[in-house]
Amino acid sequence: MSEERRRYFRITETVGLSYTVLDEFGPADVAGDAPASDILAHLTEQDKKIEMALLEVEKESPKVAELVSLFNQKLERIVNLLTMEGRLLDQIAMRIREVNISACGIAFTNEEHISEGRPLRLELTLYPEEKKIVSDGRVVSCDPAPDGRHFYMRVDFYAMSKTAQEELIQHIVKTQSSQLQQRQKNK
Amino acid sequence: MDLATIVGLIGACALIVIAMLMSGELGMFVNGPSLVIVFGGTIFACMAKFSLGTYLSAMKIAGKSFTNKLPDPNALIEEVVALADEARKGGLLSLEGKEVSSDFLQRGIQLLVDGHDPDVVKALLSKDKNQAVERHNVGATIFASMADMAPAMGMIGTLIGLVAMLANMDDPKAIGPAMAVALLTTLYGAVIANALCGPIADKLKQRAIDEAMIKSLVIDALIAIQNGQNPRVIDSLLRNYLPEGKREVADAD
Repeated sequence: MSEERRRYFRITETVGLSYTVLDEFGPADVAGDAPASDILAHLTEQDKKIEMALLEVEKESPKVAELVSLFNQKLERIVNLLTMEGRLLDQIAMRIREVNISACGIAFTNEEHISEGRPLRLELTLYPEEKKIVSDGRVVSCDPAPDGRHFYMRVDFYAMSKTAQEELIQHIVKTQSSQLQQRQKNK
Repeated sequence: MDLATIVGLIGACALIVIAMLMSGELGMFVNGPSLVIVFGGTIFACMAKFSLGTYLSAMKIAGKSFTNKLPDPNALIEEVVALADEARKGGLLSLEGKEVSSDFLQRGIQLLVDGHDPDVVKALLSKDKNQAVERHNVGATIFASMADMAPAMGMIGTLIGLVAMLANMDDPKAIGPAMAVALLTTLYGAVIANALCGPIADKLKQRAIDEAMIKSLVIDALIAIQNGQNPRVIDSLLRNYLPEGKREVADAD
């Protein structure tokens, strides 16, 4: 894709953009932070152990087993709630923003810093046709913006479907044509 | 250079000359007054039917039909497909200054680069196409008119010759040569109509059809390029312009 980056031209335009930071299977960014997928695997492992223990306790004390089972269900609900909340926090709400976009990558100003190499799931809404394009991407760079408060993030698309890329290319060429028309009118 | 026109016209005239040579001396087929009556009469009588500007431009158009060969549609499709690919990768502005095979295509690309609305691009280029077709059709009409007129002028020449011959019946020996000269104008009229003006008129009609097809193909290609259409789709779209036997299989890239 990086070779392709040089093969496709870029335009600056306004699109709807939201992204989700995907799980990364490399080393954690912050020491001591376990990736979410590891925590969920750990909880599943604990559930299996609890179920085994409950089977043994149930024979001796059914009441205690029922109580422990209820506690476990309660904890499971809390974990599910926390997981959902985490996902909502990860998913930056769809916002209209100015981006620099090509058929193989996108660059935009962002409030949060996302380290280089992190995978993202990007959801783009292309205007005026309101076409939705979903693609995974990888952060190529995330540098402090000139204002000092934001970050300028460059993302390479990867695993984008042929159909989505075709739609994106057509949209970019049409948008460039519209921008040229606008420039003509402003002369 | 359109070889078919040149070879066809020269070939037809050459065969007539060969036939004359085989019949005897070439000089007996040449007569100044007869040539003046048929050629001059045809040119001037036809001029009376049209405006001078239209008439002279028809001659220019006929000249162009000998010298300018229309581009090969297959080569043209390959060229515009390559341009479409270029536009998708490098943007519409990357087409600026590109060497292309025809002025019409060059003009269309410039309209795209200048940022004209697709409807405007289509309207301007369609107008250009329609005017070219109209010019060829007017040219064809003028040459068809000459093809109609030449035999009539030949007949007039023959009648003049016959009147002159009948007015001088004193010398029976002179009847044969006078009759031959009288019939020369009919021959000239038939040659002008069938070996010169008729084929040129039909060629201009065919050229109008071919040019309309080529220009429509270019217009469709340019609009598709402006819409960022996939080169393969453009290729398939444009090959519909070609007769089935002439549709070369596009290279899958």
